[in-house]
Amino acid sequence: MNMGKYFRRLIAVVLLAAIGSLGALVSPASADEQCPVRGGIFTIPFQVEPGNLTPGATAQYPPSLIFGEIYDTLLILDRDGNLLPGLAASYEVSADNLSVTFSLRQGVMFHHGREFEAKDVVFTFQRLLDPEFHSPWAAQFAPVKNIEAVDKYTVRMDFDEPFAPILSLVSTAWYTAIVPYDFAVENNLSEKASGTGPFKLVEYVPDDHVTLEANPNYWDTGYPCIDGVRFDMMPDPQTQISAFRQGNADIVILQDPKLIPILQNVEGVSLIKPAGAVNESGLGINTAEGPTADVRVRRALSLGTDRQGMIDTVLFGYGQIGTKISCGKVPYGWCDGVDPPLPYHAYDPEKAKALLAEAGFADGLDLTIQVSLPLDIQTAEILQEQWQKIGVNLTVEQIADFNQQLDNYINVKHQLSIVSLVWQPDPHADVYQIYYSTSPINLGKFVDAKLDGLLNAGKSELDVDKRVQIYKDVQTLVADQVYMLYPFTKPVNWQYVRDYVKNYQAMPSGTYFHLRRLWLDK
Amino acid sequence: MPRYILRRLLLLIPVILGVSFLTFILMRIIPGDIVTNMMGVSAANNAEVRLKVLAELGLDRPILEQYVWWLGRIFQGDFGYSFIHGGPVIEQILLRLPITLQLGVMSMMIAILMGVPLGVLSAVKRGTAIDFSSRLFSLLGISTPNFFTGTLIVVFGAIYFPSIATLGYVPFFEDPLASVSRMIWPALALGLGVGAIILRYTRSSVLEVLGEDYVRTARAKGLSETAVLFVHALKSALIPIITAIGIWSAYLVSGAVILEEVFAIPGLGRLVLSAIENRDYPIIQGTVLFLSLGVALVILVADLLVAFVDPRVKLA
Repeated sequence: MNMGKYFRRLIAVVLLAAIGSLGALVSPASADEQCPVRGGIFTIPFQVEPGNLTPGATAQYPPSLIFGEIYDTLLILDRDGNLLPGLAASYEVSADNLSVTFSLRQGVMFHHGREFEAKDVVFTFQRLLDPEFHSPWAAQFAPVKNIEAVDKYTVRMDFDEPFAPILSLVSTAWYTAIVPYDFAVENNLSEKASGTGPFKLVEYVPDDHVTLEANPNYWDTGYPCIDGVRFDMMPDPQTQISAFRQGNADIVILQDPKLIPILQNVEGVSLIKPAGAVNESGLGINTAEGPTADVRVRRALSLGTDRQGMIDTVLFGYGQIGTKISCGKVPYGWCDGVDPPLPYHAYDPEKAKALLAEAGFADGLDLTIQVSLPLDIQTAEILQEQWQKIGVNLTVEQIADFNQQLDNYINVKHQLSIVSLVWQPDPHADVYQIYYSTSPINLGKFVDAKLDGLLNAGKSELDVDKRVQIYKDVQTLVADQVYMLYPFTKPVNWQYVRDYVKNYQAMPSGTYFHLRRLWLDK
Repeated sequence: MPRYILRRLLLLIPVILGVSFLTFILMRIIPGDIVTNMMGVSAANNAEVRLKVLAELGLDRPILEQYVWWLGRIFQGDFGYSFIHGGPVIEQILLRLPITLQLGVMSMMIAILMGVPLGVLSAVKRGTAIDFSSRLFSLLGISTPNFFTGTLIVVFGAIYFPSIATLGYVPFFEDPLASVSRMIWPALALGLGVGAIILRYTRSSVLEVLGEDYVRTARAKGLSETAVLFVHALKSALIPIITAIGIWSAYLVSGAVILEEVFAIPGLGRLVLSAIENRDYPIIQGTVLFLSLGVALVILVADLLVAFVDPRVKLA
């Protein structure tokens, strides 16, 4: 195996040298600004067995991290929240917000050799909506009335009502990776795949590895810089760290901040800057009954929460102060230190005590919080300590069965309760269901006409800048009324890379978008 | 003898039925379900989608009917179809079997090569420092869980001997040397515990035999201590050891499930673990059935070996 690898590398080096000298003859200047060094295989330890690599077939996220490199999306959402052209060179929203027209990139080739065209986009969406395919996303695309190929390079989508989330959805491979209409029906896409993406599927050996090789005809000319990617299935984080230490992996992706110090003093590796936070610790508050129905009590709880202290103890400092649409959910997220401060967010125990006294709890207040998972239990215990200082006596009620707690959480059968919340591709999906007054899963039984109005506006406003402001307003309103409390937010993971890995960045959603741009300096 | 084997093989049928029924029912009792796993919470809560998926997977029929259908698939030879990968379960199992088999055989070899000689030595040198240290060693081996030993090997190996490959799997027929030199680490982690147990069995069995009358007679005949040990004592001491090895092979199977996870080896253990995570019932049922069948067969072979070694045992 090792011999084979060295041999292959040797051949690659010889070939590269040959190509390099040829290149030097033809165009000396093209010695690559994009990729100062070309070639090499990038190895990633992968925690979860992906199972099925068919886009849109299952709701599981990990497979999309892999097939997201094989397929493209119509638009690309970059790390900073810019909506860039993908397979669609541009898009146009009609004046009534009821249709979006995508002008497709021309001359893009699928891995199996056919040119990408409008029919593929139509096929992809019709398949998602087809009851026979029973995609978990079908319901999310319900407002899509019609999708049609206007000509070979133009696709128009019509909606029953203005549907702003569409722009996020068409930039998320998890939802809408574009598959070819001919190839996708004939093949098991876990075994043989064809997309337009930067990498081609070589093989998927369950529980062992997935290998991809660079697509030489990738439309983003010159990329990718590396020859291929190998995902090695390693369920155990310690095993991943060991593989990384031994040099059998070029990156290691840690989901638990406790593991970060293990690699801190190892030479030749560095912790890269984490992407913005996308996971929130969501503290649900019963705003309909009991003392927490009083907004002054809720504001006191918010003021009595030392968010930075929480991050320093529960997450060893590796977290961010935030709210529901946290900073990594670009461009809509609220970022601490960048956006204007939120009301009742800064730690102020004196003011909290004053508010509690005003509400009639000068002699103290007893509250109960439900938790079941370890991280949430720790959070509750720190809250218990912090709130003691403002005269709140918090009882932590541990519920053994998480599903039971979740059921209580959704139906607000508690006074307070913590559940960790996750990334969604669009802010509408993120907050509408849990904030809207008539929603069956409103997480605090709160009814606020102003909030409902903002949520409706967020659903139908297709202008990204205006929409950003709407969701910032939503967060300010929720913080002001303390309908929910977010003790901390955190990135989806923390990544160490070997020092020879250049031009790699972490994405907030955890995708490997930068695989196509990274190069290996070795 | 053939009649005995036949009877034992026939006895396997109720065992298979029992095991298959238990795994089948257990998988349906534990919380979490395949539809939520495949479709996500919101889609899975949509009754229409839910029914469609269940119907497609054959999970909408009565449980007993599903069970009987699955038994039918076993006798058809494909063990049903995987929910996640789609293909016949038997294909997945046969793909992984050689890997787990290699791990099992190598760790059993390590266990026997370590346990039997040390056990004999410990018995012969009873009460000496050698006896004391090998007993201490076996106590340590028994009380250290194999996943702990495995993790130690992985973690410290990576820190202090980064050039030694401990992780992953290389097919034996592709590169036997690399294959064995990698597999030796999980096999060691797994074999140490079983070896420690075999050591104790061997020690007590040899001690018991050494106290027998016929051994005293052999010594009285003036035979050398070596001859007494190897010609007379060891042969009968082996009998309980062989039985023990047969039984502890079951322990190897359960250990392999965990160590394959620790060492990133794509064997049957990994197959069944990721199937449990994905609620891929056919794979779980098929693999568990296959593994219990394997254990039953190893125990049968051990019993046959005992009969072969011990003339007193008549198999009929």
